[in-house]
Amino acid sequence: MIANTYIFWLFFAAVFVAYRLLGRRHRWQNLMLLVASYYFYSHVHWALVVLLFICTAACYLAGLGIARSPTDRGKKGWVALGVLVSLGILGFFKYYNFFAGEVAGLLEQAGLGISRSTVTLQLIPAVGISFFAFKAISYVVDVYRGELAPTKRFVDFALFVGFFPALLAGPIDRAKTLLPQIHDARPKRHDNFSTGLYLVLFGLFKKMVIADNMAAIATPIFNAEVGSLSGSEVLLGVYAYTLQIYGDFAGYSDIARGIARWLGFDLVVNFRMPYLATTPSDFWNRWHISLSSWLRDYLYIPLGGNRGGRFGTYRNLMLTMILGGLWHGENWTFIFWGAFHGFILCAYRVLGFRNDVTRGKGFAPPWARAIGMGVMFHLVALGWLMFNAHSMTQVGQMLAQLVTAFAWSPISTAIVAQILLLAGPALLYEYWLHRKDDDIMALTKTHWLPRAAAYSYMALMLLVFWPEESYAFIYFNF
Amino acid sequence: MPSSTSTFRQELKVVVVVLVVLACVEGFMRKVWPRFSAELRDIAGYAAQADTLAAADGQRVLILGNSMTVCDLDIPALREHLTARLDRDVAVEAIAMDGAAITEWYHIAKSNFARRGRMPDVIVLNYHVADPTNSASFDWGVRDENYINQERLVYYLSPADATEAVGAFNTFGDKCHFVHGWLCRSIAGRGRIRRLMLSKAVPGYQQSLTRFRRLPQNRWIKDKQARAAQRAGATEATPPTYDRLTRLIGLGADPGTQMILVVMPYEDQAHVDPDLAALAAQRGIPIVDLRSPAALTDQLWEDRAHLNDEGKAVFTPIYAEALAPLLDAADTAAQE
Repeated sequence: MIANTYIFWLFFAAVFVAYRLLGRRHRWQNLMLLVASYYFYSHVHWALVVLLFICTAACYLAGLGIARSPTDRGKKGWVALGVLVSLGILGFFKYYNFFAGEVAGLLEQAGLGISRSTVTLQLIPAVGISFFAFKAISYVVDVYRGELAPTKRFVDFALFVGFFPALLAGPIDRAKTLLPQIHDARPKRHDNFSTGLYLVLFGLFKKMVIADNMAAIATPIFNAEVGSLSGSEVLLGVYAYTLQIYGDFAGYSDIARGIARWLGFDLVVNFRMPYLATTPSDFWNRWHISLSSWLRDYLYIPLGGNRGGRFGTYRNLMLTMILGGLWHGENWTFIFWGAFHGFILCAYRVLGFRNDVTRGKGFAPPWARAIGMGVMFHLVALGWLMFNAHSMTQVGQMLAQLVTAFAWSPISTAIVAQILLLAGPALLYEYWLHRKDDDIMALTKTHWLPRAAAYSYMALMLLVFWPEESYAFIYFNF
Repeated sequence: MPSSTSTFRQELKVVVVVLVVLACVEGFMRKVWPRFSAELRDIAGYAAQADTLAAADGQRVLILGNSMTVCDLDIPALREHLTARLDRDVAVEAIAMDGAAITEWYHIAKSNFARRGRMPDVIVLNYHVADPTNSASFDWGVRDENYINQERLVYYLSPADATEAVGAFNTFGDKCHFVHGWLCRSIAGRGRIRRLMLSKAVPGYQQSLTRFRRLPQNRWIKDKQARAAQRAGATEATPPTYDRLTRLIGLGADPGTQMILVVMPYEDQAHVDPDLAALAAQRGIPIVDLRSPAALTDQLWEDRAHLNDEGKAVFTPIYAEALAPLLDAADTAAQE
């Protein structure tokens, strides 16, 4: 039951009607949304609901325990309970097979008679676990740090952790911003409908028109025998995947935010024109913002941040990015992807390009900003090659093919034309948003006529270029 | 800050403009588009084909198939071959749509032939068999689990059969998609518009699709598919069912229409499913096995499923020769 299916929208219509019928009784609305969220999650697998409940209960108790514990040792014990339960669920269901398989593979090579198949388990799909676990952990840590008062209402806390629009693939909202919206009666905002409409429409456009159509190009190229591809096809396949993953994930985030707005909630912005970034740090301030800020606040800074001198900063950056890569899943390609991003973060610092050049620092002239964007876009695309490849061997093969067998063909022209036709206008629109001080809601503040034209364009593109094959949201895997 | 009333009015204008645009598109799709689409023109002509066949002299043969029938058979030549071979009049009409399979054949036969009292003497189903143990194989055949083109079905389905058609779809999403397309021709016709626009706007679009289809898969994907097949095999293998085929056979029971199944040439076919063979034997339906005629050499294939023009010229007489004795037997049985 995902946002590009009929059943999801029927489900949402039922939830919306019930929500409106409950009027101003927001506690009942919260209870109804909680039941709906658990029902929604049970469509992936019923056992996931049990894991969600265990994680929620542990972190709820941890929050109360921290507040009531008189000693710091006692508080730390409660923090450990919440974090260990959350990470335990995440670690076991997401990483057990990977690490057990890798260890068994080594033991097998050493001739100890243990094989991967004997130690790996048939586990339920870990859809959404990393998102709710991170939300729950941030709550416990924020309560411990004294930045947040623990909530006494279990229903409210459970809704914060399991709120269905953001349950499967974020954004990873912080308790500080989302819990108050759940606790208190939600004020009627006259722009909820228009903002929600814009976000849902643009989100569906990104997912259905851009991501799924780009997937139809990228998937056969990444699944092909590398030797059968020309270098230009490899390059265009990587470009297509770069646009696919952006459309897919940003599209999901927009739809989640739009749905939440229709229900009166304001979820955190998760993407802000990431491919217009000029430096790695700028990119991470624009891409999956809720995860990168989570990693900064709960991993990078506790590790020491940039307080340990130059070497300590580089070490912390590398560790944070490698763990961020591992968060995405149990594959060496994700670890290398994280390490690659850690490396370019450090490299830009070493070269002195750490400032956000879009704000006039660093390469201030427009031509320099354009070069910065171009270089950063290609570095990010190289990262996506690692991210989407089946193995690092394939990464090597594809890069070798790119360099040694680069030939342009009519097929390459056809791929470029498809990319420009389907994704080009949206990228130009994002550039316009960038010129409007990166205000992603700028369109909703314009005159109704251009807005109607833009919405009509999106609706027509959705109607006509709805892909023949629908692809699952990539980040559901993480 | 705009007031809530002015914001609401502005938003209403936006929504109204979008709805007007969508309504215009719907009007275009209902009134104008069917004149431009070759496939929709063909679909509109099915009833006329049924009338032509019903009015024809001699044995009346309806061939139902898909792109394999379009590419592999020259229908006028087949008609001539059969007439010459059997030394009597044989009227042949073919209804073949790209990607069609049993559900579509059943509804075409029901809406255009059975319901209008136009059932022919013989119905030939041209299909190909796929390996039932290989889930990756795309089976344009006679089994129930075949892919169904909901968007096309709405153009020729009688309203009376809509409920039955909805029941044939496997998933809730497919059922909704059909109903959505039934109510809204913009949804039903968008696949064709999409292909047309991409073909016109993107030079080499069709070639790129063919290229992607033909790319050999890498070992990681093959391993992944093998593991998935192993897991699927370890859990349960659902045996194929033939409910739609049985219904199609049922349509011809009363007027005494003889059914013939022809397994068309395909590059990597497996065996005929024993359950299908048993069903056919029980209903007295012959299965003509033309999976791999020796005359079809490599240079006669357009791709792994379709013959080129030269292959069509070679295969049509082979098909006619295989069909002739069965048509003769059907004619004799009908006269008795």
